[in-house]
Amino acid sequence: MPTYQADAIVLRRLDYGEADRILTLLTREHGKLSAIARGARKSQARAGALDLFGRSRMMLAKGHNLDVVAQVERRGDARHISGDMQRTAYACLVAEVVDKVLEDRHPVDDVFDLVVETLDRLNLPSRSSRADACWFLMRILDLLGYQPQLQDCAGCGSASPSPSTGEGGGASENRIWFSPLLGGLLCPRCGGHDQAGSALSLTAVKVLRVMQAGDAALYDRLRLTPELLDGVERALEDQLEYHLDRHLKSLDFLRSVRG
Amino acid sequence: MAEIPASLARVMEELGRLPGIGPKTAQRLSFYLLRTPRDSVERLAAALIEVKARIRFCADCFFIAEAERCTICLSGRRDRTLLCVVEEPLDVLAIERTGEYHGIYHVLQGALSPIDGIGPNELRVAELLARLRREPVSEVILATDPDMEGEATAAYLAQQVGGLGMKTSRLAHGLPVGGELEYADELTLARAFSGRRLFQ
Ligand SMILES: [Zn+2]
Ligand SMILES: [Zn+2]
Repeated sequence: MPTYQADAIVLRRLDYGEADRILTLLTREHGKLSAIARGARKSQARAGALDLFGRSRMMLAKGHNLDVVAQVERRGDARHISGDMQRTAYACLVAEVVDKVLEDRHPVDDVFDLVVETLDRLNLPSRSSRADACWFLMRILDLLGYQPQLQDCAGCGSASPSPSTGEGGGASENRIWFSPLLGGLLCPRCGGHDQAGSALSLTAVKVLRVMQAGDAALYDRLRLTPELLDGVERALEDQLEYHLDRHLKSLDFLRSVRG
Repeated sequence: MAEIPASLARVMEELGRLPGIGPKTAQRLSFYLLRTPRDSVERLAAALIEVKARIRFCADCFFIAEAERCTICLSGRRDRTLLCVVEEPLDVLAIERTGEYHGIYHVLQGALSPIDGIGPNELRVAELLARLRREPVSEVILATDPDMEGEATAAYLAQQVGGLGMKTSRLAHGLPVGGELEYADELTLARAFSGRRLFQ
């Protein structure tokens, strides 16, 4: 059987037969692919490398239907993700998004490195997993060409949408409407016509702009409160779900345990 | 190409729905059943119907039972101050084989799985917490699988149980990280039990 090598990360695993597992892998060389790991559920030696988010250098053998994991050499670990429910759930979000946006064996430039970088950050106990997951969402939108429009109005193109003031009053004041359908911020005139979306605080808009500019150092220094991250996460999630036309289960999960 | 008769196609389709059985295996099993004597196929069918009619999940611990409650919950010889939480009924069987544990169980019927949308509400978590409030349990042993999802489940339960004021512990490592309880050998599992550590 012909074989090939790949740097791989386990995105999903599914029990198969007596003791096998079918793995969905993200590889640097070949993009996303499925492979079968025979005896994986009984193997102690390979259990860690073949767990969710496990990273390894693999040798794969071409198979009839599925390629077969022939050798695994572990690279890196996810020990601080393991046993931390929130970190695990955000790592699942990364895996879920990547699994849904990529087609089999169509590598997209930089996605592998982005996933490695994000999992490494999630594995650092000192960092905010939620902020790192939001950063990932913005980057993946960017790599896919779905970056939200955060400068001019996404409806009419008028410059720098400002918050609606006056008439609406209350909650709508000092907020800017974000429309996933139109792919960005709306001016007060356009905002009323679009039901889908959410109202963002001015601060959330500023945070999104820092993220879009790719200024990681500045982003790391921002004081991101849970309320602020609620808005940022929601806008990025809406935007991604609109393009995927799918719901992200990991985010529902996080909301259900956050209570 | 020859058509497959509808009755045979139906058997293949039904077998193909079982976990771990692909179309090829379903085909092989179907043709095997065709060659098998009538009475043994009838025994298989009767056994399937009977198990479905007789076996249910224990009303207390969700292990398999032939009555309202399972034999473990009904036994007078189990230590009711120790409660071991596992993912699947098969894990109970694995732990029972070690002969080391004499407490009672709670079967979650799965593990938290964010990617599949399986949260606490999809598992027997509310039932566990209700049980802990009414039963004289002093220690909860979290024996979910030592993989990513099992560890997340244990962490979540430790936090929930912690509020009720009883001890929580986790099986000692030595179990393969990323592995499954069901496949651990008896000695390793027995050691993991005796060396369990308190949850921080
Ligand atoms: Zn406009
Ligand atoms: Zn029971």
